[in-house]
Amino acid sequence: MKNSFITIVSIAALLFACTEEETTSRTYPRVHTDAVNGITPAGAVFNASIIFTSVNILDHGFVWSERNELDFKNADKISLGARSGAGTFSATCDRSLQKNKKYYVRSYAVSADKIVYGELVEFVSQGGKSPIITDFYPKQATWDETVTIVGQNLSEVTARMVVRFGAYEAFIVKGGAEQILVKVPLQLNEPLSSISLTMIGETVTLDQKLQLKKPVIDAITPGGGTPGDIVSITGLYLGGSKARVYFGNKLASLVLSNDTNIQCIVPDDIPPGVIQVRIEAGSPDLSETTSFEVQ
Amino acid sequence: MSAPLFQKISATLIDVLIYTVPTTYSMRNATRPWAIPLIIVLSILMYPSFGQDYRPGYIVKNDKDSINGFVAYTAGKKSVSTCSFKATSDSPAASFSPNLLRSYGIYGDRHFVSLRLPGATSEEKVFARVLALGAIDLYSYNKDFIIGKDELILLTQPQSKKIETDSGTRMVTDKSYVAVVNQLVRDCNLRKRTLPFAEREFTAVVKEYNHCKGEEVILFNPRPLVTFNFNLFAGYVQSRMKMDLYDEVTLNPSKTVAIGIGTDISSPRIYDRLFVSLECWYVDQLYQAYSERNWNGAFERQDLVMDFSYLKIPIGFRYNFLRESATPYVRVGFFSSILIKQDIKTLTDSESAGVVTSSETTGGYDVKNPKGLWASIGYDKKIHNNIRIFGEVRYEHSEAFVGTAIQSFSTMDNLNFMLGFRFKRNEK
Repeated sequence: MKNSFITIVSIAALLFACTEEETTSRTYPRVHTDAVNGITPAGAVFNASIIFTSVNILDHGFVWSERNELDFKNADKISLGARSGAGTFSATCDRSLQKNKKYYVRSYAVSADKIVYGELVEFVSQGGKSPIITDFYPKQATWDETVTIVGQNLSEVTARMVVRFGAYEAFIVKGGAEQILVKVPLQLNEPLSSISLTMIGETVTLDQKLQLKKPVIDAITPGGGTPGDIVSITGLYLGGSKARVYFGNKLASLVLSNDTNIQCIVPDDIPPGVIQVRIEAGSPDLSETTSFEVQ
Repeated sequence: MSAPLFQKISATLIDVLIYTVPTTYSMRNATRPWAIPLIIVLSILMYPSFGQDYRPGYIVKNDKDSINGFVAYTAGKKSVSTCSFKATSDSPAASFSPNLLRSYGIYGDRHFVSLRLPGATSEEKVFARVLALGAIDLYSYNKDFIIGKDELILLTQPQSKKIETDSGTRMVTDKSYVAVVNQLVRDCNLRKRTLPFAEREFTAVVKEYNHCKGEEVILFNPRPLVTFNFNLFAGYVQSRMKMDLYDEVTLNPSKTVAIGIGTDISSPRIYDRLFVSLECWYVDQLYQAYSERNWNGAFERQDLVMDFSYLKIPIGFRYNFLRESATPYVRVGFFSSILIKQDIKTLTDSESAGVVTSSETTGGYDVKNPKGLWASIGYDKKIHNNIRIFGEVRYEHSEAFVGTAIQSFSTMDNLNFMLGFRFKRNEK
């Protein structure tokens, strides 16, 4: 009886003495990317774990892209914020995913002095939510001015999106999940133009249209002169290289033209008297007038 | 070869192994570890009692004085002409001729009586092994049998001779012994048409006759020729593996619990303290190593994790020092393995300019089934009729898991602590 008891106790003690896989320590968080699951037409679930940390984690989450070399600069990101200690984490990704396309995802953790990426995991998406744009501001803008487009399911990766004002493609300054910053194209010449976004094969268009700002004339200097004189027109949104200046019906030659100052030559064959000077900023619908006395 | 001479030779060989092997071969060739089992075997052979097999027994002198002690277990003609007896295991042996004893025997085994052979012309006696006692007694003497009812009758081994017949040469065996036996048992109507000249068949006839006569027959069965023990055990295994592919890497020791079954085969009739052991272990071992290096402009930290599950099949010999209910023992042998599962992964952290990128690769190494040598010491104790408990410490040295079929790039040293049960089973 005693021998059997000793044997059983010894065997039980042995069971607790086995080697387990040990996580070696680092001076930065160790993060491990697990397999993607929950892949549906509505998105996918990313999973990962912090397997070791001895420092504060300022941010953690996932980056994903259709390229296998990905980081913060060239991939979409889900940020889960700061955390303390090791443990598992996951996030549902429902944007920037195209059906039947292969994507790569990494988990990440950020400490005070290091960015740590976990292993690369690949998966084939069944799709995600469509991009939505809901608003933009300012409602009036001029060329090369930055307009903010607000929406949902957008992308941090600017190369993944195409924004158009009317027929003209805009430069995307900065991407994001819920808003993107774009520049009003210089070629734009319609007073009202639609804003559309194309992403993952889908195009969405805002109901509201962007209104290009009309020229504003502050002053024409001098206020009078003779044909051949150079006059200077100052103001705002004058149209730059697209500007045209008419003295009456005569088109004036431009010496200098930018959005705030136009210098032109008073055309010949203009009868003396007060005439209307009209500035068109790329389109007759974008014009403003002032008066000038021909001597 | 006498026991003292055998012991001298063993001692000389041990000296050779201890003092010359390390200077002849390098440590990397690891020849010294496999010399250890050999040293243990030779040490066993030096054990004084190994020279001759003395077993607990007794002698009965002519004055009917019975003395307990140890009787030499001998076979063949020596057992019928002399009895070697020791009063204690340490006392010198004394030889007795059949004329000096009435009988002698080994407990639980053979029993011999001193008698005159039927038809002998001299007064010289011989020792005959008793097979059965009853209304008819049965003895064996060398290859012959002696059967006794009213008197002793010698049944010699039948001879065969060639005879020429019309259909060619035939071998005819003298079966006159059958008629003799039938004559002895005729009062019980046990006439046999055929009776093989063998101990089992003669014993069966004697049993039948004694049963017919209503007499109790006393049988003196020899110990079994082959016997099996079945073992069930668990062990704590501490293993250290070294690899030498590009650089020598020593992985962290693996500690695990293994379970196994086994069998010990022995021939008690020939020698009851030597066994052939065969085991099968299931082992799951996990090894890890950590390394750092500069590589391609980045600083790499690497974790290597190797997890192997395998069946280990040790084969060897076991020698019990004692015949008591508790005995120390030694074992030596070799083992081979069958790899069931392997899981090798390398976790790499590559750091450059404050950005650390992790990657994981699986495999990357050729693997093989380990094989090597082992030696152990243990203690075995009877706790119930056919159940024994044992504890054992075993050292193993072998090729390890990394390597090809023709070359090993790794070695393994294991220290095992085992506890288990032995279940005894006899077979004839």
